[in-house]
Amino acid sequence: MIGSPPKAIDVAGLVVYRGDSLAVDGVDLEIEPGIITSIVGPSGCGKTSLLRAIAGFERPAAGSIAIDGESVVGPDRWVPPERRRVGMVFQEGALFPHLSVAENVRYGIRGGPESRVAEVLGLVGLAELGHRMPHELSGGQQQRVAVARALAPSPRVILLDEPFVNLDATLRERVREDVRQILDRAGITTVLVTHDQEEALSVARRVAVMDAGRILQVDAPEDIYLRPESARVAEFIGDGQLVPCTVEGGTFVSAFGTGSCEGTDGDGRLFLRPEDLEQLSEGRDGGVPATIVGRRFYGHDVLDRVRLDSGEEIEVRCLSSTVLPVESVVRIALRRRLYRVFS
Amino acid sequence: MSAPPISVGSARALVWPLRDRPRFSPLLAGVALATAATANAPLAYIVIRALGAGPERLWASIGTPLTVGLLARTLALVGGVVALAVAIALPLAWVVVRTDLPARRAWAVLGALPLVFPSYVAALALVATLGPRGYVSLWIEAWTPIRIGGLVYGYTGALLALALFTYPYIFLLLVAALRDLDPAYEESSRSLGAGRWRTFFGVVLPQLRPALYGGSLLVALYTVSDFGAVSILRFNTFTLAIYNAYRALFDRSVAAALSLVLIVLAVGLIAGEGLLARRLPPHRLRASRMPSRARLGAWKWPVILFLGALAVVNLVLPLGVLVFWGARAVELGHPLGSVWQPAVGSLGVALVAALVTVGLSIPIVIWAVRHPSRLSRAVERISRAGFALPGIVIALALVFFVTRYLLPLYQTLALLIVAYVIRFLPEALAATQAAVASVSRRFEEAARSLGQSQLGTLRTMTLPLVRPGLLAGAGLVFLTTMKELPATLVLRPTGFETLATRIWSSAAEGIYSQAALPGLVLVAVALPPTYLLVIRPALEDRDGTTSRGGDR
Repeated sequence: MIGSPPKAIDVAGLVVYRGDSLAVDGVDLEIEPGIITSIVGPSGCGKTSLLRAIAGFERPAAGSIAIDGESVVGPDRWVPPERRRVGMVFQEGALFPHLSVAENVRYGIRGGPESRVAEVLGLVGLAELGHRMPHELSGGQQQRVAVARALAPSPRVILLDEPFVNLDATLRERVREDVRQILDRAGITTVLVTHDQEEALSVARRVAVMDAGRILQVDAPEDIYLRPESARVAEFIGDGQLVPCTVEGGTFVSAFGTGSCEGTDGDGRLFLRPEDLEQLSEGRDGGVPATIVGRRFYGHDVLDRVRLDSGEEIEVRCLSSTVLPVESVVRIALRRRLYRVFS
Repeated sequence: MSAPPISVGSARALVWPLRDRPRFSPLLAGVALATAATANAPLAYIVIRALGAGPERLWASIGTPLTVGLLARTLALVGGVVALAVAIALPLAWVVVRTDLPARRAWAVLGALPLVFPSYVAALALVATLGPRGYVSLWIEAWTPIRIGGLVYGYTGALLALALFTYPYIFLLLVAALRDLDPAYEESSRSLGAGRWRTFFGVVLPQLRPALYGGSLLVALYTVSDFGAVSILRFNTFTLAIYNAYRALFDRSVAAALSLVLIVLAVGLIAGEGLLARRLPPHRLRASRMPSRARLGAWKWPVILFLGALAVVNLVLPLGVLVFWGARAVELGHPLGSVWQPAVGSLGVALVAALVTVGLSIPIVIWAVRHPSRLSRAVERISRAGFALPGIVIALALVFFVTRYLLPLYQTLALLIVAYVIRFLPEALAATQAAVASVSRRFEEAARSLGQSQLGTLRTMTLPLVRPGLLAGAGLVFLTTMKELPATLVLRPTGFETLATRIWSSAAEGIYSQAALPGLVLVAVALPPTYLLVIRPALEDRDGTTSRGGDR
């Protein structure tokens, strides 16, 4: 590692038990400085345990963690949470209910300059609300105060544990965008843990997909979505289904059509998302005949379930302005250039 | 609404629920009003008696050095007991909820179990071990020149007997509060750079205030109304002075005036707690997962030593005294049957009191919960007057009242039951209210729309659904009636004895062998309801499962 700049967070060989069960199973993870990284996975995958180990609330059974190049967990090394300079934002903000907004923010900078309280409250756009009590704020405001409180002592990293999960759907998107901009502007290394893949992809510059205690893939959001490295990642991120195919010399053959692919020769599983297929309009050649057997209407687009003559079914995403009635016979075709085939 | 236009079956069924929905059965309303009036009769009578004599007479009875001394002693006792009880309960609750102490649940149960000992048994145990002829005193005096025998009488003894056996009220509330406190608060604090101590005092303790205030109020009220411990340990507080004034002088105005001061003191405590609690911010976060437990490390053995010593003092010691003297009693040839009569007396009155009290609480609660109005809620609120009325005050008020207006009731079991109802109606109301509030009124509306009358709905739908809650309430009233001393002592018919009066009179005379067997029976009867109705619910989550972490 000599010569390369230290990672903001460097996790190596981390093992964490929750009670008797293995929550984190030998994770290696490097977090890039100055950007938002999300850790996404199904509930119980160990993502929260990983985050809490970084914050210092879980004692790993093995492995090491370094923050800004300083070891905080390792063999014979344990830095308690209050000396890690790691800011944490919880699900419901966890603002201290007996302290005002300003007192909450001041809690972490005891003895520091009073101007810092106003500064971070201004950063989250709540400069006027310092005298309020937490229960007098809306859910979104509470979450912004929680971010301000975490930022106040100038931590090395900010950790967010499912911070938007308790906000209702319409509010969630707005608060999420607010918080993303605040953290971007602060230019602070941020790790966001979420089970919501849309949140993970839209907020972060890098995404780590986790399952069963292991990190499956770390990449930019578009790479995670378009170029999943394993069938597990493909299935977890976005809709889609795996269909059988055979590969020979970079070309696959499946019931839904043929095309170019990455993958080894032989039998494989082709990963198809609904938007990888299209219903051909009248007058276009090619495609496979199929019957529309079901429909989910979303407004801007439509998910049609179609059945081939051979009995196989798949979902196809279409624009709502072009759909044919259910039970129509259509022809479907693959529309991407390059596909992923998993062995 | 006017009568339904058509009286054909189906059309009627559509019309009538609307027609009589807002009305509450006048019969039940009458019962509720009568109960509320009875519950406030002693209070009203004391106030009228004390004020009726005129301000000069009132001031002459209470503005004396005697009253000032009583007030000072009572307040000193309340302050000391609450402080010592908090000092025991707070660390105890913390170690059993938030540390990796082995066998936490067992320690928690042991920590709460002293609740089974009424104060007069606690006092008896104290005198029998640390008193002038107590075993521990004799042993110490045989080996050292230290003389401790006199210490248990007066303030020190009363303080120990009350604090060591009432702290569980605070402890159980703290356990629930600590368990329900979201660990995210502590973790936020740690992440913000605060160490363990600053986190505890800056974030945890402030959020335990509701439990601390509520528990302290219970302990304070227990202390001001206690008669058993202070009388055996000869520490002259209001209750003892009132009793003595009544016994020695039969002087109504002095007893009434002192009672009034005692009521004002109790109401003041309740109001003070209310003021403190009102300034607290409302709570929203509820623990979604188990807190991480602090490692005791090298502290493990000192903590276990502290817990063990506590259990020896407030469990092993009193039980040992009872067993030892019980065995002596058998050895000395006390007839075992002598405990039979007070046991039957206790069980009988406690059972009747439990059924009557819970039964009377039902109309009050249903009226207030299902037909809320200013009147129904006011009836429910004033029915809780007994919360602020010490047993001795209720008893004296009833004696004064019936000897003047209802002489045939004097020295009857019925009057004793009335006193129990007044004293323990608040407990029954709380239990019934929790039970009724947990039943959705949709069930009742469904029953009404299926053709049941209001009383029919109560009988076929509401009561079966609330029965477990009512039984719990009855169990609580049974338990507290079994242990009740001062009202029983004053109101019992001549010759009628309960376990409590037998223990007290034997202990007050220093005849421990006569107190031991009734004491053992009382503790044995009190143990199951104390565990099932008080300790276990408090140690479990609100949804009834023992605390376990959610999955993550």
